[in-house]
Amino acid sequence: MINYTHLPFNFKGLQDDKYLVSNLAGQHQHLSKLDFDNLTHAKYNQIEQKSLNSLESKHFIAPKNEAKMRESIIASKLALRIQNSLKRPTLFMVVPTLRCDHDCHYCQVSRVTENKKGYDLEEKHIAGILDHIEFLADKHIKIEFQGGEPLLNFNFIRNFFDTAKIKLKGKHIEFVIATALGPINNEMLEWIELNNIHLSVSFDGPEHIHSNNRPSKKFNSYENTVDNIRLIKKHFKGIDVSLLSTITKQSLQHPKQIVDSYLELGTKNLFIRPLSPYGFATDTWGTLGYSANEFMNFYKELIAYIQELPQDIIEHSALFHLNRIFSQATSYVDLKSPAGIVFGAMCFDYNGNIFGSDESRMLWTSTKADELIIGHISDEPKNTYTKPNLIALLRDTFVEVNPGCNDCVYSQFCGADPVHHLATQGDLIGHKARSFFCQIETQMFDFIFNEYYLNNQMRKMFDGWLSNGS
Amino acid sequence: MDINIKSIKINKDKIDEISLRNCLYWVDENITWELLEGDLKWEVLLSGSVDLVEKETKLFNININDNILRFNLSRGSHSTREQIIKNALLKLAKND
Amino acid sequence: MGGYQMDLERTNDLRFESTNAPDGLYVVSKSSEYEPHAEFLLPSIYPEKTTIKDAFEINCKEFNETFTKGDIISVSNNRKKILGVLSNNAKQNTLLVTERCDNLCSFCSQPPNNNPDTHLYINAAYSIINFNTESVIGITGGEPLLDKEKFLTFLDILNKADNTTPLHILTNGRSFSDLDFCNEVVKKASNRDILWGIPLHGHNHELHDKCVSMPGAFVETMQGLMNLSYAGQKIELRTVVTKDNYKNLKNISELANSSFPYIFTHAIMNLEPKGWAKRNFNELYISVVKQMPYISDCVKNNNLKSLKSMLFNYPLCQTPFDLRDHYYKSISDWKNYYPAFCNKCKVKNDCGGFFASSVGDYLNVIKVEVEV
Repeated sequence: MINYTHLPFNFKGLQDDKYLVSNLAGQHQHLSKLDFDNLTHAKYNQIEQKSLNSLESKHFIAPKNEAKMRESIIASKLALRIQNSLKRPTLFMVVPTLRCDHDCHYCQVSRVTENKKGYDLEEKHIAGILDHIEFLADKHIKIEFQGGEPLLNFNFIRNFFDTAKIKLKGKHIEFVIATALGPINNEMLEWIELNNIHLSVSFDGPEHIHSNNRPSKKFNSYENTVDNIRLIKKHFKGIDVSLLSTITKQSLQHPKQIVDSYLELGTKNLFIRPLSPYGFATDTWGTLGYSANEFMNFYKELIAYIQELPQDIIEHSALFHLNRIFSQATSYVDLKSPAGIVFGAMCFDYNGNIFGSDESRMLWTSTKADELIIGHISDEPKNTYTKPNLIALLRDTFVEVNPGCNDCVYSQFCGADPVHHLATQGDLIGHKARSFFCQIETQMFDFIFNEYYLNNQMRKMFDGWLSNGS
Repeated sequence: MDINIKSIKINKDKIDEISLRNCLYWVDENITWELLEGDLKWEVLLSGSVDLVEKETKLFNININDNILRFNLSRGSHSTREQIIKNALLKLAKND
Repeated sequence: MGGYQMDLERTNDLRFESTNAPDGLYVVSKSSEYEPHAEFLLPSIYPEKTTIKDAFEINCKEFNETFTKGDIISVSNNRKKILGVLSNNAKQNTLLVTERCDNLCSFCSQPPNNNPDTHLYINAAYSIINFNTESVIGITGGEPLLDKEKFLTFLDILNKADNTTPLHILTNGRSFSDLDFCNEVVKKASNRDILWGIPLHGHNHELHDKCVSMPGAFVETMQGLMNLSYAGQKIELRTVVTKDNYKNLKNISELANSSFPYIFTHAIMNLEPKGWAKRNFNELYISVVKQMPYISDCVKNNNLKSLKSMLFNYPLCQTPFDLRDHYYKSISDWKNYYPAFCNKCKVKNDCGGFFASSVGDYLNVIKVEVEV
């Protein structure tokens, strides 16, 4: 009989009297109450054999004379995870204009009307932006145009693209335009298709939700979105369009209809995004917002519906949580530790300000808190990224040592959202018991782990998503 | 609104103050809590609306037991999380 | 790419009639070339009469059917035999650099001995240099890294000759638990592509040490894997499936995923009835039908983490359809054998067949599975 000892781990009681344990090596194990009790009371050899083997393979327990080696292994694995989170930023957002042809209720960027002057990013800044990107980036990057409505400054996009192709020649760049498709025309679509540019389009669901959330003075926004998506799918098949649905209070009653509306459009990829409760006036949140519980009730119904349907639909919010669980992937900049702000993404605003994320751009719009600004496009890149506020972003976003996070069983899979906490509570770490972000993430992970281990059909679906790559 | 006050007493030899305050960290913001220290026992008073106090007392007790377990586990472990984290950061520093 | 453990019984050894070449290694050439002699060059040997002054010639009837220009051969005058060392006609080329080993795997297909091996390392280096290919060459043993000095010398010779041939090196990895040695190897290996094939047969010391019959092997192998993987080297984890470990395949995968930053592939290998494996076959062999559910679990777990699995030495008919993406037709052309009942099989060409050494008692065991 082997003389075991245990290595440090976090735990939580889950549904059906089961327990989840996780450790700094990024591993987890779902256990029966009996096995959990045996584990925590050092009765290792009474643990059911299969669970025992698994726990040993994942460095939850170890033979006493191997404990030191395995601790070194865990430390290396943790170091690796942190190092992966500190790679050069891969997402670069550029805001060609703050002008917009929609009046989305949940817009957090103080957009301006279509013809207002003085809200475009000037083309003279293109070279400066590319200097910053070249300075910061590694080989594989994504450049995403945001707004306002970026297509209202299409010339900027075109010039930027042409210049980038030359200036960033050695890099592998994926270009994305986040657009509501209002100004789109054939000329733009041809250029977009020719140059392999992706489109990211908000589609909140059936008309009564979409047009309600995202009204426009110019047209029926639901019809505009749907007609243009159908047109692209029919006549510009080379263009990759990803859709996402932002959830408001109005969406909460209609999970199935939202899924159905996506299927009607001929797409099998969903991306559900909850609202962030900042950047709004309190009464606006009252109209649009909801509690974490309300969101999760909606979300669970939506996923259950997807699982029942015969079509193979993928919901990407669940998928990136699954990727975090099974491989601690850092491709999603909003859920990683240290935080993705600056270390995952960079945002070049229409007025020349540089931010570390889209959220900080939004927060600055409503608060004008200058510590959110990283620098200016006209600054020399090599002098820009050394400010003390960046050190705070690094120091304060390690889940391993943050109060509220350090004992959490999900900490290695979750992330830090410093801007959210700065906005809602006034500091980068925040009090997690009061945090909407923490409530949503906790319930998301609860839901995913419970379903994965207690519901075979759901597990099959999740495994299918994971195996197909993300 | 009916206000209810629940009293929870815990032996001081079962849990240290830090772990206890860790549990208080998670108490709902609509609950008022008070921590009283006796010679042999801690006493926690939770006050708020009837339903909320009921719910939070249950959660608080679960958290207490979890923290007692955490404390015992860290004593029985070969090394602590802090040591592993420190080692990880040292390895990172050496690497670069 | 190939490179699973091959033995040295080459069917490509021929008797020759006569030669003026002394014993040794030669590069096969055709008459029209003149090969100058320089520091690492092996002498040329010609299978026909040449006009080159002082040329080595060999008279061998089937020479041109077996060997071609650029091949490396060894001449043994007292046995009157030519042995193929590296051939452009071979699907896989592997060089044995030692027969000494510090493990005693119960299923070892190349049982160790203490024969001198210095000349084997040197010969291997010279052969690789002169063969001058960009295709992968396998390095095997025994334990090629058992003598650290000899292995480092081997790399030094290759580097001095500016050779960049990619290598697939089979090793138990224990030598890499010495971090200084690991770093030195990594430095000397930096100008070529190397895939390290390192076996992990169990998820803990009890199981792994039992399989390799060497207490302490697990800890050293794990330490070696740690050092090597964090140094950024490409690693193929190899597991031979036996009665002892077939139920723990998924746990081996879990262990690898919990411990190492990145593993290139996981090779899951069916037992080849050769050497000690043949001797211990009844104690070791577990039917493929019984293995498959556990292989399936392991592969599915590997998929979740994007670790590529490869199944070696399995008959295609025993491989479930959802695992066929990982099937590798691995038994080389001069070792495989298709029993009569395979002739009706539609996918015979995609199947590796069975080992020739499985004829006899062992095939009866296997034949039963296929009919089922």
